[in-house]
Amino acid sequence: MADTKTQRQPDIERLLAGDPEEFRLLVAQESERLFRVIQRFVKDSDEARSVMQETFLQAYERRDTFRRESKFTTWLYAIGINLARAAVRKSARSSSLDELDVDRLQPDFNANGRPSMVPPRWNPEKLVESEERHRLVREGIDRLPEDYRTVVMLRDIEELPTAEVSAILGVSEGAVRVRLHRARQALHALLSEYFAE
Amino acid sequence: MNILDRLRNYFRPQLTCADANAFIVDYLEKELDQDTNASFEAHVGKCAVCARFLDQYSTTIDLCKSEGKIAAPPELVESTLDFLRDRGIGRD
Repeated sequence: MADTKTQRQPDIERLLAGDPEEFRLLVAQESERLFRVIQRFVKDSDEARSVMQETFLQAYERRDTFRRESKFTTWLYAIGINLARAAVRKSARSSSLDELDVDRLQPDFNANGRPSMVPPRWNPEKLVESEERHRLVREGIDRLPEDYRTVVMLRDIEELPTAEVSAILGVSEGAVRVRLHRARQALHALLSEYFAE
Repeated sequence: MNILDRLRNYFRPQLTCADANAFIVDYLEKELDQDTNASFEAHVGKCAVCARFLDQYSTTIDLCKSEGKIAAPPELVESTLDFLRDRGIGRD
């Protein structure tokens, strides 16, 4: 199979007209990233694949409802995230942290704006232990509440621009920044438990 | 530094650690205006606690980038195209 990542972007008009070649191109170009995003919600690889395939199916069948207010891929990711959330709700899985836990993991400042606790130094030797580091980062991300995990995944892991994350999630760019900051600080606190000297 | 820059620095409002913390996302995305950016850097330049926090915060982002990606199965695209073809989508 040819390396479709280096090929042209799908033509939106032909895509919306149901051109099979354009749809195949879309599948080839977006499957990997869409799969990664969905798997962060549903955790199981087979289920992630199934939700991803359903996402493409729905995007194709509902393409006449695409309102051209965003990129087609932004709309595709919004469908994928909604389906992934529905799958998580159905199986009643949830992350181990809730909003209060995230609050507790934020830095605290006194009335003078000084931090009430100095962050401990991180041990550089622990930072280079790659297998453990890998596990800790993944577990930390998975423990974040869904809204926070989603912004970390889209913004920090998949490196989508803030404006696109805002369009996918249907929230303001300001809200994306606030969630991202709280999520990173919670993750920093979780990692500090291990990386501290 | 010329006299104008020195005067500007002298009169620039001093940020607290809490103020600096609230500007981290915009600072890293280079979204701060010039004056706020200079105030932020001046604060972090002289506050060891905030400098350490900013360094660890940036490391946290780097760790997400380097460790957070999940590998997709190699036959993912083909199996998805098969799935869609079975439903009459993507056939010529």
